Amino acid sequence: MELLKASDLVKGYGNTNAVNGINFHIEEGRCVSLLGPNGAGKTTTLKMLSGLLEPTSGSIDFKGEKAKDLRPFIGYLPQYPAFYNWMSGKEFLVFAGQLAKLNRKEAEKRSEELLERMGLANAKKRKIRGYSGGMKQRLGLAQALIHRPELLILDEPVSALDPLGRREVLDMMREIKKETTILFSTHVLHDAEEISDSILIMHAGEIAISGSLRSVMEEYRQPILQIEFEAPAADWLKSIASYSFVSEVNIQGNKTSIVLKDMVNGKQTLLKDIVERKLPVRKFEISQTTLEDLFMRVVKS
Amino acid sequence: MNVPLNEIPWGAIAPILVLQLILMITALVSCIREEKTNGPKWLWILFILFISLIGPVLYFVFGRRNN
Amino acid sequence: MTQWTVLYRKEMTEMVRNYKILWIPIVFILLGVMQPVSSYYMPEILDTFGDLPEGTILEMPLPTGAEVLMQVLSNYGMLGVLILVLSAMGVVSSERQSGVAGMVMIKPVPYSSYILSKWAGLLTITLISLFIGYVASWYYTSLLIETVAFERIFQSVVIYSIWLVFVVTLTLFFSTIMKGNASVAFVTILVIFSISSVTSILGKNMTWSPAKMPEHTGQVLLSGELESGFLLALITTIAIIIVVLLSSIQIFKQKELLE
Repeated sequence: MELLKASDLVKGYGNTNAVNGINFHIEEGRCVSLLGPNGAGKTTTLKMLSGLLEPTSGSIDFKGEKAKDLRPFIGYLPQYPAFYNWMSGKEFLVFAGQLAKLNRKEAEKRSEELLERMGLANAKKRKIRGYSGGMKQRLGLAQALIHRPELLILDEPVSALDPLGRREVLDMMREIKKETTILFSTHVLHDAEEISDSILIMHAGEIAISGSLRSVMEEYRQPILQIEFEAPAADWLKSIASYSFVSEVNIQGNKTSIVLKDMVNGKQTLLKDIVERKLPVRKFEISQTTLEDLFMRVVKS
Repeated sequence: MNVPLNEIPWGAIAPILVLQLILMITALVSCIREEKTNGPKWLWILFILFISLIGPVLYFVFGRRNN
Repeated sequence: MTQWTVLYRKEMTEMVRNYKILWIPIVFILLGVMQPVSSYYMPEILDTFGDLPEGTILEMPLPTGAEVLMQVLSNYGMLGVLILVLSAMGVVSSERQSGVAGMVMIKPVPYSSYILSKWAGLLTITLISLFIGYVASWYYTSLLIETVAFERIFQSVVIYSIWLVFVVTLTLFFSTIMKGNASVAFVTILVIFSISSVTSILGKNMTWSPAKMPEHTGQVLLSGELESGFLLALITTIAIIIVVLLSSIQIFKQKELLE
């Protein structure tokens, strides 16, 4: 079922559009990652979806209806979550729960549950002032989940964390994914590949590519040949660009990656060339383009 | 001073002194418990201790960090 | 419990934790009490510490109770206002700066509840401080000088509180539209100072001005009667407070949170 649909969403600041007419939808129960380099308009998009920012134009439908105030249905974790540092972790969660219209008892109960789940039970009475970055991020996750939102929106949930904290939060997201639809932004492709079902790639305020992770990978996947030479072989590499099965040649020192349109034919021809010319090859590897290659292509185009 | 102690109107003055003391102690407690103050902490402590009324007020207004 | 109540309770808890609920009233009490004490003991103080030549005879008429209380309110008008503005300057701007205002507003909280809870918190601390300080001052004045009729005390404090409400409402407004705490305080003080100066210069043509409220307060204390222009000033002051509050809410709605 379609949970959320954005149509022609635009956000302009002065003469420039941070988000320039994007369309996409999110299926219920999916974990969707929003990818893009810094400045692509990810945060602006997420803030519009969460109801924190009024779109300049366009509309957002939630469960098939034009949404007026989405905030009751959405849990949002900003990129830099802030708290009242004089409160204890539990006090803040109860406060957030009551703001989301839970009564005091429910808010208390739900806070205890989430503190336990986020591994903060021991720190619940301590002032947030003394929390580490990872603890604050987990507390941020807890406040986003406090009212059992139907859609959890996370803005760069792991980018500010050290490897350990990153692992913790990713594991938690994997858990949460089972019960809630998640939309999260990231510029780390590895995270997106690891836990998301669908991806949206944004660039310069527009959505360049969208779809399920598998279909996007299949659609855009291209065979690639990685050759490492013992000595530069620039002449030959220049000459192969004229083969019809070669679509792209990237040279980085002694390493070269060649994107092929036709792997079977290309592989044979190139191998034959190498043997005939007695080129000093250290490594000859057949692989496929990764999400990163795709991402780089979108961003550079 | 040539005023004998028993001529000082303690009934009127004592509450003022007590309030000033409370103000000073509150400011001191707050300052010591604060992780970081705007400017050196020891300076604020001196301010609070030795400039009555104004010291604590200045500390509360300018010495504490917001959030 | 409505979200407004939750937010208001948070404001109050915060004031307890950062001792505002203690120190601001104490300062108001001290400001209020020191005036009658120093008026009463001034001749003795001068005698003791003034290093006056031997044999000087001090002829200082003791001020009336109403005059002492007027002086107290004038102290509140200077130092009291300064303290209130400085302690309230970050009420919205600090929370916007730190990002926690965004953390509140991503929950389904009406923008009006946020601003109005802040306003109510400011009113609470302001009125508590004014009332306690003024009552203490009245008590000391009646102890040392003379008793001023309670009716006049009551009327004057009510009228004066409207002026202070006006002051903190302006502080809230500037704290909403600006980000730096220092500039909030500076602009608020500047605006209040300008209103007061222009009103006292153009006196007759500005009977509607909110800055007339302190004058009316003095009038009530001295004569027990209200001047004719009071109602006009009261109406415009309340109208301005309402307009400023509503614009604060509207402007807050437009501000981008969590930048």
